[in-house]
Amino acid sequence: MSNEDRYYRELYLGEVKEHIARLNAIFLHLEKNKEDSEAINEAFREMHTIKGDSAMMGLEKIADLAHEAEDILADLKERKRTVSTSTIDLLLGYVDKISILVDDFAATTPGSTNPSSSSPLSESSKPESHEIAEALKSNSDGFAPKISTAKIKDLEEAIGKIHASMSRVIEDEKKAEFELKTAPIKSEGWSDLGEKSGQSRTGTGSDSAAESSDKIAELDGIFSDSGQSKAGAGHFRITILTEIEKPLRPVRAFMILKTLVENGVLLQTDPPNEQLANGEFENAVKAEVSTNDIQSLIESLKGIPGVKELKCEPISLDGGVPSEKSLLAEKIVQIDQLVSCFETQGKEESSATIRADSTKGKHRVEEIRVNISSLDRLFNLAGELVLAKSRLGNIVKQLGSPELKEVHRLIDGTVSDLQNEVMNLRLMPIGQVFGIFPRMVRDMSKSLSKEIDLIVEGGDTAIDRKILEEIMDPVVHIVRNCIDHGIETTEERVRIGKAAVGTIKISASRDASHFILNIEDDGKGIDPKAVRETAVIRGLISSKKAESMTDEEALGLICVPGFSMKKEVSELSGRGMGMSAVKSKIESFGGSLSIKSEVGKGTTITMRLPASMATLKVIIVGVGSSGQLYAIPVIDILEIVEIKKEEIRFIHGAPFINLRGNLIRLYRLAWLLGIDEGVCNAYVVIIIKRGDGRNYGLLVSEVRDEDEVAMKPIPKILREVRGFLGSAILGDGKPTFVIDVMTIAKDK
Amino acid sequence: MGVTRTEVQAITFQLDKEIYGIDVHQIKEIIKVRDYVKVPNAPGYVEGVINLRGQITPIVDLRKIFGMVQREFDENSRIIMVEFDSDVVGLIVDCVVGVVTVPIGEIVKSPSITTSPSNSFISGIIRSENQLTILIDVVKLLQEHCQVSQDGASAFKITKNVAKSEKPSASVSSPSSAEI
Repeated sequence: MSNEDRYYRELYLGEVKEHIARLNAIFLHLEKNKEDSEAINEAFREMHTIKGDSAMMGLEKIADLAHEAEDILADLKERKRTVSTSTIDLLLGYVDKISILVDDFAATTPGSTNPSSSSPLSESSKPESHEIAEALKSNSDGFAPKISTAKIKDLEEAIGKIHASMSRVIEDEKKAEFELKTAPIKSEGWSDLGEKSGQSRTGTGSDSAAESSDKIAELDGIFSDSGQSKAGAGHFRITILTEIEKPLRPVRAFMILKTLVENGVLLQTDPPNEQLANGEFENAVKAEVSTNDIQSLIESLKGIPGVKELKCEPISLDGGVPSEKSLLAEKIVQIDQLVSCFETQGKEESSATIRADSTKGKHRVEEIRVNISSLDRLFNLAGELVLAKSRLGNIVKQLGSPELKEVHRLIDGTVSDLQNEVMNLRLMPIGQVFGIFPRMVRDMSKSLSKEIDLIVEGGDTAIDRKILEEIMDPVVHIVRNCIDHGIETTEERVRIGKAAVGTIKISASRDASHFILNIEDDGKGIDPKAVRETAVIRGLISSKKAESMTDEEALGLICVPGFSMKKEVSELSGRGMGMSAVKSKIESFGGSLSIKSEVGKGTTITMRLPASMATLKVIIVGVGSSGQLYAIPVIDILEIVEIKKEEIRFIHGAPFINLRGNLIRLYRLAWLLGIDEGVCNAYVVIIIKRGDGRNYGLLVSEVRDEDEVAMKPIPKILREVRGFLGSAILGDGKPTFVIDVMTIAKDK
Repeated sequence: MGVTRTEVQAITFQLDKEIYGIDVHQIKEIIKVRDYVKVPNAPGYVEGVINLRGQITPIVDLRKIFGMVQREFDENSRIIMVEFDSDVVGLIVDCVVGVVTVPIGEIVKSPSITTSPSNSFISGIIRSENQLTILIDVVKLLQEHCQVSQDGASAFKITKNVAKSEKPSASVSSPSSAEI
């Protein structure tokens, strides 16, 4: 598997997914704005692009589907058909089918150069090992060949073969010439030449001539068109006006060049061959070509996606028509060059795609698509650097050299900046993946005869890509619950005097260290009484305990494994992951989940998640008699106060301190962690800031230092251990744990 | 995998008075016992965590897993690093004895041991002149003793990361792609 191959595959997948997402959005928009002809046009363009790209990748089934959808859109465009819900359904159905096929294609091992061999998608694409004839023979309508290195290799091999055959042909011919003393062959077609050689063989029985004839026949087969003189033969200057997005330019250029070379002899191009193959051209490509059939060449060129307009004018060349033999030799040289420049171009290209603003003439690079794995590597490297920087800091402190300190300060700043940048790269706005919700809400609500409006707020709020990936399943589950259990049917809503259309609001926001996601519906809400009853019936809690629970605690029961309010599993939810799985998933990376609900008014589910998995400024605290060190995120700390043992007051047995007139509840960190605290007379209280205003103090025996640590996951066999956000390595190389101040005190 | 192995190479180590063996294929490395950090509220068999070249690595006391009497670690104590569930886990043993290479045919797979689910991690017994070496499958052992909740793979894999992203919008945006 080559990089180039993967490169085109990824390019295709990335783009086609964007087109699919846009189509989904457009169709949903169309459903509400049925008269928006611009939207129809855009959908048509998107669909057309999918068709073209898929055909190029050899994914005929996708191309066919896109074609069918395109037909519907064309009808809409020409007002032969009107936009109705059923049309939208039909179109969305096409998008879904295409999406499934694309996923299938994505799922095929990228290792196989020809995904069609394992996937039924592209029966039309050709088997991997093919002869030059196949590699070069391409007809105007099915531009099936996928440009892969395998293909290029094949081409190269084939060219090698041609070279060999060519030189042998020439040699053989010379021999035959010598033996037969025949006149040099001038401008006969290859078949004639073959015949002649054949004749010469019958005349002399020369083996070499026979071989030569075979070779010629072989070559004749390859370039079958070159021998016959047809109408429309001659030299032409073709001006090809194109409109091609930058990433696709090399591919399209290759197709254009290939078509030119296959259908005739390419004399010269403007820009030159190499630049063309590198995609270094703007709109116009000029080519001078000698061909026998200009019509079919034009037709073939028209079949290339992105080709807008073709101009063709005959030109006369001095020196007459070159002999077919030299034409062939020239042609081979051209293929050779074409292949080699395409190859070098492919090598130079990294796995990153540069997306340029295609609307402007300049190559202004706006964004770069980066491979995730290299991003992850970068992230790890930055983490290591931060760690090394911390250690260096310790050494610098010990040595106390001012010069060293100065250098360290510089490194410190740079590394921090570097890390911030890397971390920002990992962040991704949620809007990019939340685009699936409008469609989901529409489809589900329709099937349940509900009317639901979806509002997404804060779509540009960014969160670590990894976390976003992880929370998608939970969020989908919750939204489904809202649609299925939360919002009433339209009929029901009207009956009870609510707005007929229900609303689901997904809003995202950030505070200092957390990403907060609210999923709110204005449905019937969750009745804590019913929850209690169900929990008792299901044997999850005793009826006595149920009574003693507050409403908020009772709502928390829906996250207990085994809890379900539904009597049966519905098609849409009830067999999903369940709220318990949602909760544990969120908590598994340091997040928390809370549920608020008011009967008859709606339910709000709030997720709080760490905004980034990356490094953290922490305060290192010592706890317990053995002086174990733990890290507390600085972000969560309001202030740090030293107190004496006597300052601790007890109210109903619970410790408090009086901080400037405010009573603050204290928790001993050692106790929360189950560590022996030893004897201690003076403490440091770390006042923890909590979103809900209920600040509290963590009692530790000492505060060591402030540090910046790269957060690492907690090893899997310790996943059950609660109260930690993650692990980290301190400046001295010792492992520590970062305390999750939001949950640690709550658990006790 | 693929090639049928004719013999097994195992690192043998001592725990109490018994000799155990672990297939070298399951072992990443062996290190001396070093300072470790205890993990509060951790399951009992997890002795603590160490920093193994930047990776927080849990270490597990095999004596505890096997229900043997505790003993202080000494200079002979070693940590055998094995791979488990794509993490590295260290197993503390009394001392490492050596390496043995045994033809597969000589490994006794006693049905009486393998049938009991509680010790299905014993993959066989090697008999030599005067002692028995119990071959253990560390993955099975850890699976049984440290129930790791398997995280279900998320259906949402975000396959791209666009450094500078477009403003997400549910409405129709002007076409940025040329008609192809």
